[in-house]
Amino acid sequence: MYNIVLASHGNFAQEMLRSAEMIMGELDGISVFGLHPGDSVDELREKMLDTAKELHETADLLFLCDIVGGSPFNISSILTQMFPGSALIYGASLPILIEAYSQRESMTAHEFVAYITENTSNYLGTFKGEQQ
Amino acid sequence: MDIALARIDDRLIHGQIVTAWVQDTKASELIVADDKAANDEMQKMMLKLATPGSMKLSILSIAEAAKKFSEDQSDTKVLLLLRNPGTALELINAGVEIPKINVGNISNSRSLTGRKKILMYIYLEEADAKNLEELIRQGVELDVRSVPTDKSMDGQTLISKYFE
Repeated sequence: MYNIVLASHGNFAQEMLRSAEMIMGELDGISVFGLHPGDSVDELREKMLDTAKELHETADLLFLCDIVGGSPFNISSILTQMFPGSALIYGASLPILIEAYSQRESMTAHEFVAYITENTSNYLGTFKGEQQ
Repeated sequence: MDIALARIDDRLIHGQIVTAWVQDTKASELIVADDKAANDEMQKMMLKLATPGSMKLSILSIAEAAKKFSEDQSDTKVLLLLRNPGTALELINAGVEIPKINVGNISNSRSLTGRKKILMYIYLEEADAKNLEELIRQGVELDVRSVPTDKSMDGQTLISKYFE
């Protein structure tokens, strides 16, 4: 069992959740954070820390972030270290979010990231047309 | 130490710094001079995480930074990061000579007196405007731009936009 936290630059996290809801119906209990131009990174960090503290009382935390090295990722990775049992995936995508939501009651956060690592090709792949 | 760039940026170390500005200045060391960061373990972890492996990072209080700049006679190129105009002024008042300061991000963070949006990345509160004026009065040249390729705005223009 884990709680899901989405964090991104701009509205990507918020919109990823909305797009997932188009497919799955309403998804409860997912926390969403976006860093917009002009936002204070310190204040984002405080907000995410408060949310993480609250969520960690009920279950492990699974962070889904947009890009490695960005502020949403940096904050999330520190929170992952601060709260035992947590895990993080960067390069988050719609199929990974949907899978994360589907497995949230049957796996721990650590089990889920191991599962995703094993089965990456289910979530990210390529397809080539005929060679020119 | 050679201050290749002194920058006011409340995000301190982030993408624009480690890509655009490091490349532009050829700096090999990042110095964050900030009392708040020097006493905040979580922020220190974040700053370390955001620093490229090839660069040295020092997170110092204003007093420690002033001491380092007065003692270190090497020609190491340094990128100096300051949280806001107030901390820049503190460092100068502590005896560090900074002829030119780049004004980067001043975010729309909590403010008791309110903030005015001047540019996409600059939201001034009253104290910022006063501290920027004081920097100019002390002879510091202000170069307002987010990334090296931006067109620069001078400090006086920025301040007069605040008081418009």
